[in-house]
Amino acid sequence: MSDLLAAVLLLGGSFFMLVASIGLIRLPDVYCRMHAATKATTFGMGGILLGASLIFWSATVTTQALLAVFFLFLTAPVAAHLISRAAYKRGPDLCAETTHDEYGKYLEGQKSEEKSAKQYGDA
Amino acid sequence: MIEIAVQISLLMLGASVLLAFIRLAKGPTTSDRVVAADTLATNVLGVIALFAIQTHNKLFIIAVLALAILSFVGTTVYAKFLERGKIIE
Repeated sequence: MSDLLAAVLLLGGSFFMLVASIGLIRLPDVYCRMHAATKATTFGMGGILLGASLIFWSATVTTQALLAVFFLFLTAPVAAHLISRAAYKRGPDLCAETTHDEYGKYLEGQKSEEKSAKQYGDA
Repeated sequence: MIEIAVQISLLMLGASVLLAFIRLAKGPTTSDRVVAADTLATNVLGVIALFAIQTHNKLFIIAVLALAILSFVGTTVYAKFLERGKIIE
């Protein structure tokens, strides 16, 4: 029974990793690709490590696997956020289907604020 | 049964490593390449965990933890490099 559950977890986890890589190939721009890659990969790693801890069934392995899963769940969104911000500041290559661009508006607002502050400073 | 599942999972992860590598080689912008490298690192973590199961060696699981930390640091540094153009200021 535990073997069956472990096998299902392993297969599900690697399936999610495969889906992430297919998304990385097929989606149109950096932001979509990162959306696919980050979430699905993290989930897949969670499945694989939980399967491994079920198979080994020892306290050490379970602790290490849970720590690794916790760390991945903590850091993957941070890394994705950092990369997307850097990619946007480098030049927003948004794909043609994009409908919302809130960060662009925010950056524009910041720029105009800076400009008005400078004008006041000159006066 | 576990052995067959591990074999199939390794095949799937091999395919996904290949796809991520294609994106890494092709990627139109540098940001694409960084995303592909991050995915590649996570895929390699999965391969290591499966290798630990296949060889019945518990020690590889802690390599997963160490490599996860290293890949996070690497991605952060790349993001900073993309944003500023230099790493140490």
